[in-house]
Amino acid sequence: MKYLFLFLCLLGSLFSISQNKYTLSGYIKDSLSGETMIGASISFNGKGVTSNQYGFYSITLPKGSYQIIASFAGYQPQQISINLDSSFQLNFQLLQRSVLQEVVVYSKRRDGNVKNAQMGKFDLSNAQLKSVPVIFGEVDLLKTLQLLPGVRNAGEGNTGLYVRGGGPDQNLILLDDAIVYNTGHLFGFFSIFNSDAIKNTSLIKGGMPAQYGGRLSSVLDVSMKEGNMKKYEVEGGIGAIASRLSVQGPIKKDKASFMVSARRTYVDVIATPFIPKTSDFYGSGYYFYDLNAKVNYKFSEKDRVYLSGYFGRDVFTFNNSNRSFKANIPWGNSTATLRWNHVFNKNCSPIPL
Amino acid sequence: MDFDYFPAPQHKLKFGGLYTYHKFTPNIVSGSQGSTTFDPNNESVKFAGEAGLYVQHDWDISDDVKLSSGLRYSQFTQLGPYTIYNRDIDGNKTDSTVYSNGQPIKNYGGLEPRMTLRYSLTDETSIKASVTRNLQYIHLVSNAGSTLPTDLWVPSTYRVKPQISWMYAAGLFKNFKDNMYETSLEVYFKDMQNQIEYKEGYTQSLKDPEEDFVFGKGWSYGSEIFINKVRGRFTGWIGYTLSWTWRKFPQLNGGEKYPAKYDRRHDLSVVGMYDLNKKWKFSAVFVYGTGNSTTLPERFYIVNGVLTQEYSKVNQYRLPSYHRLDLSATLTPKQPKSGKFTHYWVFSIYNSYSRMNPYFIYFDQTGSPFDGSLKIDARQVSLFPILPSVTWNFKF
Repeated sequence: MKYLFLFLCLLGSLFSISQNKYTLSGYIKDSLSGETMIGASISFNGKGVTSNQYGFYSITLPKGSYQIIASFAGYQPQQISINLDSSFQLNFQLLQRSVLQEVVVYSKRRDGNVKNAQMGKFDLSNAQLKSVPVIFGEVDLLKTLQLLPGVRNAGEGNTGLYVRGGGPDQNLILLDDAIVYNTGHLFGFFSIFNSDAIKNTSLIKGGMPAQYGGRLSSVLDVSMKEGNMKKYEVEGGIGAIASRLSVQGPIKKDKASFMVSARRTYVDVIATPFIPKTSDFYGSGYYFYDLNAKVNYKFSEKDRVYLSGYFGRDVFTFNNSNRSFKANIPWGNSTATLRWNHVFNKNCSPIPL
Repeated sequence: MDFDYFPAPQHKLKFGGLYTYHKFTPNIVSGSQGSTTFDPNNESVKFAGEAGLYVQHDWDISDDVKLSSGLRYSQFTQLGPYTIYNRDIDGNKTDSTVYSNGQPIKNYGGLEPRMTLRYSLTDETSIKASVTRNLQYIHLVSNAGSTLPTDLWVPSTYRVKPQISWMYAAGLFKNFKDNMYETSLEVYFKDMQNQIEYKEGYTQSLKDPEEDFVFGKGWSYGSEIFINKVRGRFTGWIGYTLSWTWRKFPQLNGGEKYPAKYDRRHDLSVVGMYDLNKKWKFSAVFVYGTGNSTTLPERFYIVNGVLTQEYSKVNQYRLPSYHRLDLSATLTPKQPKSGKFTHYWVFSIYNSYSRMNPYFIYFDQTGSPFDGSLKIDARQVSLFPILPSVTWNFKF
């Protein structure tokens, strides 16, 4: 596989040289946090490409002068005039227009709906996700997706996705490329996705591209935040039944960063004082907690390593002293992903392992 | 492992492969009643390997036509160690075939072509069509309608075949007012083979659940309308779906087709978000859906003093429709200029008019059949009435 790939790259470069074509490539990032931007648009002379899942783009063009515009909704577009006479790397750092406009951040090409050769796809940014009302005030990714046409739930409060007549097992659910098998916490009322840790979500309900497989109905691709490369940030919330806390920041400025996000429900803590010790059900309780963490390190302009993981546990104990019945249902989920992105050649990238 | 390759602006090539090794350990529930401890040491642990190779090519053929085509080859092998038991009519084990560590037991594989074509009618209008074939080798078999821990992930085995689907979709896409409004109308037809259900009258036992599966097919079709306002102070969307979902199993419902549990004829969602000023933001969600289909008892008999029920055909009945309105307001108090501490409050009301939406229906029996006081009532269980809540969020 690797040789075939190298061969293709080589072929590509030969092709480029013989035709006097050069490659412009690079990353698109948020200027404040250094977070890479997925689906940002890079246009030249009215045509364009979009940055991939890792914020990387690449264009091969004949020798000449070009106006290159990098844009992403909610951000100031950036325009650069270049004289393309060799292949080189051009990174863009886009500035957010204003914090308030965050609600309308729309994470794809503005005309993508009409221009892409992709059907039934919906992208949801973190800001959009957070502005939709939800049960108990707890933002929930899967319940928000259930508001799209063709996607439904099985019943009140349930987080299972039923896409175009398919069952909940027919969705390929990826959290930072790791397959998630059980998306709900116990009873399915809450999904395992902690909104504070999520950067971007896209749902494909039809016309699934070939890189996805193993499921019939849809793909839900969720990427976690990478962590702020410039400064520390603490974010959290206290709600009626759960609290959240996230910390992100640089380990080494512009080189390495981390993100940790935790959540716990406390229905049990609130309910316990109301269950008398004499009650048949004394000692019963339910709570869940989960943790998302991610670190990434940029060795060079060409190499970047990511390590991310999710860990969640549900603790449900049911006591009935009357019938001397006792049950313990442990229920949990964990994922881990190690990824290495390498730019082999300016127009071959990236390669996650 | 994935590779992105951009040979020219008109072409984008992506290819790669992956391998997964699966281990399935069913039954994680343990419990105790009195002195009896229920802690099954399940013998039906299964192993499998799954591999996939793909090429995906996006090609701008001309300014009007774009083709996205892909091909995937996937393969799945159930691996040893495993023991296959043959059973006689009474269910007793007669003989067995033993497979050693890593020895292949059953192999499945297939090609999965994927294709989407876009044709631009104008700069803001396009039509698209797609055909996809998908294979699925691991399955979640559900006894209840919700995602409970009783649902079981099972691999394809010598008994369980992979699920196969073909989906055909076509749509009209149009944006208005400099892409401020995105609209689409899509229609689809999906054919699903080798679907799995538990057999009629299934009760949990310590047997390998695989022995209680029945297999059949399913198909669904429908249309979806989506209107999305993406910019401005007021944003939000309206989504409407008209759909049918059928299932047909030779061993269920007398072999006749029946609506799937999640068959929903009409489904409407309205989402609105409004930025009043820097301090206040409001949002609202309204959902309406046809009730879930369900199987209910149609006749009650008293046989030797015991109440017996005769059930309707599978999913013959519909629960009452589901609708709900949620409201939310976000208050961001004026932030001090110095310091980067910011905070905001979210007030929300779930199910604002407290609609008692049906979760399920059961029949309650009171009195005794002997003195003629027997009464049977249908009762509806609803989960959430109106639920207000407050969340405080901060960032620094």
